[in-house]
Amino acid sequence: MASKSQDTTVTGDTSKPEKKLITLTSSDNVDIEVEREVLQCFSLIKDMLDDLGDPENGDTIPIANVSARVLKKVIEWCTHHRNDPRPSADDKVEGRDETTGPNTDRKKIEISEWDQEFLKVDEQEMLFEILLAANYLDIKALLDLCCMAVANIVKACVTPEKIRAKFGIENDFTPEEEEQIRRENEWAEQPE
Amino acid sequence: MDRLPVEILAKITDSISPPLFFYKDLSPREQVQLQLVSRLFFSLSRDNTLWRLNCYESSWAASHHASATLKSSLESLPVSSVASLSSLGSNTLRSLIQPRMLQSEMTDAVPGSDNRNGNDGSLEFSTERRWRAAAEWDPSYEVENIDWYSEYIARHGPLSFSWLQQPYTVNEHSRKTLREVKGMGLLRDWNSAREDRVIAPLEDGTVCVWDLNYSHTSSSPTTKGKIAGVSARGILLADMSRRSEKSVARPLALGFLSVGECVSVDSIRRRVYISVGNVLNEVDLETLQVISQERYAWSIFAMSQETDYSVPLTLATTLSLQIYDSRLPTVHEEAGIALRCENEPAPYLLNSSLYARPDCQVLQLQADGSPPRRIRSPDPSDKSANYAPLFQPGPLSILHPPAPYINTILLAGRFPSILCYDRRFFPQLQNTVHSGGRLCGLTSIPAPRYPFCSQSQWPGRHSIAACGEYNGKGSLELYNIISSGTDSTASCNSSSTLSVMYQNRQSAARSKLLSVASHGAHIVYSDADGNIKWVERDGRAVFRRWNINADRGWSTPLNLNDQEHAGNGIFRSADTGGHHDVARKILPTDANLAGDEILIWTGDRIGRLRFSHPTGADVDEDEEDLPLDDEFDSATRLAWRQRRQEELQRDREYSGIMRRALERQADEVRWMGRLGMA
Repeated sequence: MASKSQDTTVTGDTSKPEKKLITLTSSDNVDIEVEREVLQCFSLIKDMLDDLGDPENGDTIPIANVSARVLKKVIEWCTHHRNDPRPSADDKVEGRDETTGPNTDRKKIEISEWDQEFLKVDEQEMLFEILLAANYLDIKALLDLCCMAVANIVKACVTPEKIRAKFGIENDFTPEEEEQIRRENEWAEQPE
Repeated sequence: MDRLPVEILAKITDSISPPLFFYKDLSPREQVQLQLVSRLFFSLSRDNTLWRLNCYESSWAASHHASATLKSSLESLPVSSVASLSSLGSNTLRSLIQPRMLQSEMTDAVPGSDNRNGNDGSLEFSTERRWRAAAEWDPSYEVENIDWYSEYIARHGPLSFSWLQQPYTVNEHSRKTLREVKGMGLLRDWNSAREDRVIAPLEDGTVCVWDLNYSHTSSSPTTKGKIAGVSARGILLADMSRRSEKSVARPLALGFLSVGECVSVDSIRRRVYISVGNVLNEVDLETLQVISQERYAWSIFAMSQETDYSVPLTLATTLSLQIYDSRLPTVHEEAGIALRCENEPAPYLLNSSLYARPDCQVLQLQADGSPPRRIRSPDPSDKSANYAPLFQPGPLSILHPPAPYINTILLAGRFPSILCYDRRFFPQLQNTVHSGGRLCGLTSIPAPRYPFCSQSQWPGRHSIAACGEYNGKGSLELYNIISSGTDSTASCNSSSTLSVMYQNRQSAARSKLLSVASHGAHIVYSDADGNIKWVERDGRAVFRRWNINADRGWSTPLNLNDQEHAGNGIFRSADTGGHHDVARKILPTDANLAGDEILIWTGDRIGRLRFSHPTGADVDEDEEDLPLDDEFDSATRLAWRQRRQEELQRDREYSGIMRRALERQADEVRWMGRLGMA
């Protein structure tokens, strides 16, 4: 570990003293200290710690697939949500919670205000990074939240062309195929 | 976005579907939009299991499941005097009345809204649970391939109705006289062109053919539903046997029965069998000429329909069940038998294990020149074996169940049982299944699969649906059909038995059921009130209905007969709105996606019920009375059409007012009658 840069501990709104800190190393070799309690969200790490015990002093846990920028966002989310009830296997999806405001638009899946703020990332790329990180670290609630966020973006785009433009997807259909699918999907169009 | 792993994309696609199934306004239409984005998204959002999930979530079973879950959560609900209706959770009466009501509003109304989380949790299912529930619900049988996207469209897509072009004759005043259609059959074409044809006899004994192609060339939509060919006039009524003796073909005395089934199409040989009274005509669809005619002692009431194996036609007359093998020479044809040749069979037949090629060994004449021997014993030349007497008159429907039940012949009619025959022991009745109702239609579930496939993989089980009436009400009856052979591989050689599975005599319909068919993963039937209903395969849960009179709307003009009927409105029920059509026969086309439609024969016309928005071409079909001058330019035509629309509109208003007045008078008469005044 050549170029380790020590980072400040990321904590939530309520800082409780004497929490056990565990150091994570991101893919770009940045060490991040996280409270042991927050790590309960990370099913991947949690299982590992449960199996192997806490790391010795000085040892860090490498998170090879996630960059520091993304990891910090993920920890920020987990810190905020660490007091949420633990999701059981059959539980509901996260993100539909206390602060549901008077949302008149049923077309959008509801996401709490804090989560909305959280997901206001600069670029779309970041959202996908968080999504991938949540998948890798096995944080189910965050994964669901991000999927919903992406789904909401998709919903906002009314036509396939807009979806393509929004996400920069190439249209790989031949015109005949496109025409065929369009004809098959005619039923779903709103009548004039 | 396209660099995300597929499983996450699938999750996103799934997130777009409603997380709460009863929010109907969160439709899977977004998933439809996603299909057009790219190939990857197409495969994800056309996924068969995804659409099965969508079908499930909008079904009755899903809401039933939810209310069961809700009930358990309700038991923990504190019973308080101030608990409002809304505290009963979201899936209650209130949410049905006001489905768009905000959930926050509901939960706010609950005093001490601690139970809110409980309700929410029970109503929302995790992805895994939803998929598992959908798999459990899946009504399809083993090995059966259901296209769930088509199924979803059939369940939730829009419906539009249009008539096939009505054949007409032109009289001396160059006015059109419409000719009634007396039956309906579908010629299926399994070539890539998919040029299906609707075949029907007309009242004057002519055979008419309509175009029902599925090709996507630019001209095809305009010709679809139009007449593709008409035979020479009256060929079905001409008496062929006397043609040689007398120069003029004398018309047969009997006309169409308009009861039972009088058309049966053989798509492979491109022939159609049409019965007129007691005469069976075999018509070649290439030349539209009668190639053979057979007379029976009694009128023909029912004919077997084509299925996924090739067997001789079975037909039922008033008091007998007969087998008609078109490969056998008829009497006057016998001399020319040596000259007879068959067409080269279509290439897709080569793979079929069940359909024997016409020129294969079993179909060739035997060495001594006697007719071929195949699939049926005893010897077909033994004429007496062609005939099984019925002890009660009035057979109405014959079913050849699909493979592997190739030896079975089922017969239903105006007698209380379904009769089962075995082809190999033909004149002998094998067994009967008591129904108690008077049945008029039989169909197999799932429907026979076309085209014939090479692998002998048949759905693990079949059932037979029958429709009819019981004590004046509609009855939809389901029967299990089981091969009695123990070895499943040899099931082709075993006989089969029927047993009662379920008889819906309560909720099927208040009037007689006229026709039943298997459509996708559900059953569709028509009743004598003009309703067409779609029901789950359990025969209980009706999930869609459509009325040929009420829901057809006013976009199609009334024909004159209907207007006359509308006049005597006192005795008519209000909801038919002057139309009194019923769907005498319904026939799904078995095509998927855009080609999926249901053909409806009303007794005098054929209509198409499609799962799409009405197109402009459907709306104005009122050229029936347009004078047949070819010089008519488009402007005159347009003006004429507008004038006619206005006339029709005025007529409708007038008849509506008259109708209300008469109804009011009738009410008065009834009311006064109760006072002893009338």
